[in-house]
Amino acid sequence: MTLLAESAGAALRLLLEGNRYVLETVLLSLRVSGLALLLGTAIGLPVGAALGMTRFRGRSLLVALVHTGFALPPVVVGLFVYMMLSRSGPAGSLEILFTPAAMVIAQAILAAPYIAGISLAAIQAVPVEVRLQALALGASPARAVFTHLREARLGIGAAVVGGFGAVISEVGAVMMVGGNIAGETRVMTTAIMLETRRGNFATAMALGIILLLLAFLVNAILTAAQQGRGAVAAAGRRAW
Amino acid sequence: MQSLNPAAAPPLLAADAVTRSYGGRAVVDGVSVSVRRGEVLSIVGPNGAGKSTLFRMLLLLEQPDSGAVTLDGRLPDATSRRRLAGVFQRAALFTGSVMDNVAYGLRARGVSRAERVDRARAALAALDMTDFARAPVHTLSGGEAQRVALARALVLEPDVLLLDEPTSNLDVTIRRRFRHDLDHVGRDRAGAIVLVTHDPVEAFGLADRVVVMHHGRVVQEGTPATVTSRPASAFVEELVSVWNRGPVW
Amino acid sequence: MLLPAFSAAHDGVHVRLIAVGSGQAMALGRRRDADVLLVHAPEAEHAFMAGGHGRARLPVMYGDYVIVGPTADPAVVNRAADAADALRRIVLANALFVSRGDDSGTHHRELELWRAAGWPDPPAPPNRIEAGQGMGETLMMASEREGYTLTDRATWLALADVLSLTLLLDGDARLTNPYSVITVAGAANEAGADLLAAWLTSDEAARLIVGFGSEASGHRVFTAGAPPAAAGP
Repeated sequence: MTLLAESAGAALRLLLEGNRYVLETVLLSLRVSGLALLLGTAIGLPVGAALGMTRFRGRSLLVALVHTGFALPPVVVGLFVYMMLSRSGPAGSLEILFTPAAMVIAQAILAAPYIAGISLAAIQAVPVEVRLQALALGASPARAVFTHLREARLGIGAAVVGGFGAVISEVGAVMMVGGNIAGETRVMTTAIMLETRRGNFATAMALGIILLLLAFLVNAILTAAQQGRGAVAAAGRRAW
Repeated sequence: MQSLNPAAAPPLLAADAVTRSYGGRAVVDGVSVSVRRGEVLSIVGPNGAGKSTLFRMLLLLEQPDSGAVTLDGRLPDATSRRRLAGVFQRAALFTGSVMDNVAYGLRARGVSRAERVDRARAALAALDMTDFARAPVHTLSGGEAQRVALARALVLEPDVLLLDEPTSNLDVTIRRRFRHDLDHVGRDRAGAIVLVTHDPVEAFGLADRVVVMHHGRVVQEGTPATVTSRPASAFVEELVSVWNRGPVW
Repeated sequence: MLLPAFSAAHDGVHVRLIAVGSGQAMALGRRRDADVLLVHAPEAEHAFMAGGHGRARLPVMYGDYVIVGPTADPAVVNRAADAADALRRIVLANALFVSRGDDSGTHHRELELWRAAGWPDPPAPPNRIEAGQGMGETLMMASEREGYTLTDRATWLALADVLSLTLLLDGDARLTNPYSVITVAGAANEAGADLLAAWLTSDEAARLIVGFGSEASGHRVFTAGAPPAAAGP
């Protein structure tokens, strides 16, 4: 118990004095996961929108595939990306293995199905009439689609925030394709692994505290969005 | 809205022997309807009679499998859709403020902000909704929401205003108010009005002319007086009996 | 290889093996999370014993480190005079050195070599990067990035086939890699620890040690006992 207390105290000191190693690690985590989220949304949202707004043969199969993607194990994604980017692999000439770029790619692959699936559900829940109504007021097809998506914006926002929460806390993929290189590809999760094994508990805890705070923040945003949506939806049912 | 000599000009909006099938079944089967400038047309029939599909085809949102929809007797072109405005069932307001909604169609047409605000305010005023301009739509009552939906369409001053079940599930006072709005504001700002409904009371109470549909086909048309006094079949008679039970307006 | 033999000979003693670097192992020892350590970081071991964390420290065997790098060898390490010279050449040629960076015995030895080569603090990136991982991962990274690294011979022999690296330097006295067994003071299972330590330093174990790996590589990887006095620290 004293180890816990001592380390916690030392961790807080590190945080308060703005320890450089901790700070750089957190910033890199945010950059990598942030970019991965952008890329994942750029892929996942259009897929979710397409599946959520259309009906075609084979759609159920694609939706099932997207849902399977929720459970992609990070280490497996890491393995796949590693093999693609290794010098003996197809994309080896890009030479991005063990760089943040590889980490962004791996995390984007992890985030995209999640974002697609959650936003798909929200987009599907919007009544079909919305798009037709928009067109009936003279909107272009693109604007009508946008209006439909806008009605699902809370759900889409939840998808993105949830996706961020998932990638910022994963360790398997970023360890494998990033290599935990000090100052280059060491993010919060991989740093915690190393520092724990080295016995630097203060540093590990400092990073762990920040990671927990981020997870909490993500959850708070999601909850607020849910509550807001709940209130509006209940009242809004009259407007429909 | 002027009442031109009806026989001279082609109808403002017409469906000419249109057919539309889903999964091998004809949902709309060789239907011809038309509406002239200055007219309020009502298309009435039970659910599943093909009215909603016809509604979408008249709005140029869906293509018939055979036959054609015409505007001024001509086939539609790229600009035709914007001469029409539709109000879908149950208002379907977009989340946001009343003003956002009413200005939606104007924004889609690239109208400047200043003009949008002016025209939207005018439309709201015509329907006694001025005070609601900033209100978020989820705070509106059923009747208020429905007036906003009407304002949203009428602000565009469409050649034809099409409405799908506008007062369905709404109470009598709202219906009376709606008839008043349609007669005074609707006829003023729209070239013609087409009302699609399953409710005979709504149909016969509001329209100049009525078309009765059943199983995707037109079974009778004429003025409300003609149809209610001389129903062409047992089905129409049944439909009309609701109306004949007494005015609910 | 050694542990199964020990377990076979000592039925009542159950050994749980946790494979970590020496620095981490000694951290475990300090916290008494482990009963007995097999480590290869002599300087750190001395500090550990001096701090009173260990009861006994016995030499078990010694192997050696080797420097491996890209086959093209841009820094011409294979003509270096010794390990320290090799590191100097790597920096001069602006080549990449991949360090384990994880407080392991290998990492500690690497830092000693840098000091001997004239760098009290090892070079910064991009010349030298710290992988923060085990030997296997570090070798894979060096192979991918076409860099140099320091590795123990045993791991090198095990992975040489899948790597695109070549052994470039060995035989330097500073590359001797002595392994010691340390029994932890105040451990939960002192009796079992003593048994294991005694067995590891026995003739039986010595025979197994000497035989290790020699069929595959034709090379003796380890020698039992303490290295010659002049060699290690």
